[in-house]
Amino acid sequence: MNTLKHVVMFIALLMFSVSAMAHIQLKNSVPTDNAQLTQAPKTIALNFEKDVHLMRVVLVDASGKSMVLPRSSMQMSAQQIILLPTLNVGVYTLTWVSMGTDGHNMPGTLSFSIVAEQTQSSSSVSTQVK
Amino acid sequence: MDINLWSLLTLLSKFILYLGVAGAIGGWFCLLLLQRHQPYFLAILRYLRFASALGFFATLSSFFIQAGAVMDEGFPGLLDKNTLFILANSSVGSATLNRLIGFCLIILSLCYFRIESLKKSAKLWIRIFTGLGGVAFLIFSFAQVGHMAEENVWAHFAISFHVLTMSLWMGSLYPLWLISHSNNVENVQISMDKFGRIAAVIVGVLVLCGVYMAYIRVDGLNPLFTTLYGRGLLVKFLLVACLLLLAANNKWRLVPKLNEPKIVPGLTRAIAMEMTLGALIFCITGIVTTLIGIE
Repeated sequence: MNTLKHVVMFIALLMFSVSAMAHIQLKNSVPTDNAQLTQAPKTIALNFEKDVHLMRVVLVDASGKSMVLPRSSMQMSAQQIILLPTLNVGVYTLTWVSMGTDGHNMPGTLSFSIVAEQTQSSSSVSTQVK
Repeated sequence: MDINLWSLLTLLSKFILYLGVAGAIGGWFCLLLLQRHQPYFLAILRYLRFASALGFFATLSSFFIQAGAVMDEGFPGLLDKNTLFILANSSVGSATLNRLIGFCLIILSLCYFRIESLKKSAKLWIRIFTGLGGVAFLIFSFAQVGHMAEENVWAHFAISFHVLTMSLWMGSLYPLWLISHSNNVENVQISMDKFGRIAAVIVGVLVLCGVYMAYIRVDGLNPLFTTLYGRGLLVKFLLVACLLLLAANNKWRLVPKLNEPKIVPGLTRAIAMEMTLGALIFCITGIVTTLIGIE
């Protein structure tokens, strides 16, 4: 009877389990999310868990003005490098749509800010004082 | 769950594609299975042509809709050259091409061709091989995209045979519903009985493939109740269970008693209910894989 119970439970587990195998995620990026930079970056590197196509990249500034960035490569790769235009001081949000071999579109976002060098150093001094 | 115009269009094209694939494969199977029902031959042929054409256009539109969804720039986004180029060179492009070839081969297998030098039996074999080729292109295209695309070759076979068996079952319902109106009850009984015996094998393969796919993606029971994706799957399982009950009722209760009065209308109603449930299952599958996604 116990064996039967185990068999039924095993089949139920197989039939009704749900995968947590999510779509391909971003492993890390340079710059990192919410990074405060004193120099405007020329590129952004996105490192994914597996090879992806980068389908669309948009940069939005603090005023909400968006700019579609050109794809640096049409190839599938785990590392995607995005070329940036000259950026001024401010907060930026990068949004993208990537697609893995499963053909699903996966959106992603990354925020970073460019601060004047003085602001950065004064904020680090005030942090040390505290 | 992110619902916008693009996700709804993706869902709609997926739903129509499922109907097209099921109709093309199931209809083609019924042309061979229901040969004794000559008065319904043309209706089944029309159904098969319509389903193949529907599937062809759903495949083509879903390719452009995916480009539009990526660009999110309205109608011009559908035709963005760079996005279409990337899509065409990705697994989406390969799957789209294989589906288009599959539907074309199925339509081609139905065309009347006049080659005097060929014998009638040779023409029949050409038809059969062209049709089978079309079915193969269609079912293997489902292994090229989706969650199984990243799994091993057995998973690719599992999803392909899952699509094949589901299509054989669901796509045969409309032709069976048609012939259930026939006055020749004896013929109806023979065909239903034949289908019932084949369906037992179909359901067996369907369950085996489902169990295998669940096994390689197993991650416990909890997400089934705690996530939206899991709840969506629960609804799908419930609908499949109802479908199996209806099919069992047809096979073991209604078909053996077809000679009795009032049983034939009951069978017609039961098949219509199976078709409704099948459409609901396609809809839930589309929602689960398009709007919800794995959390």
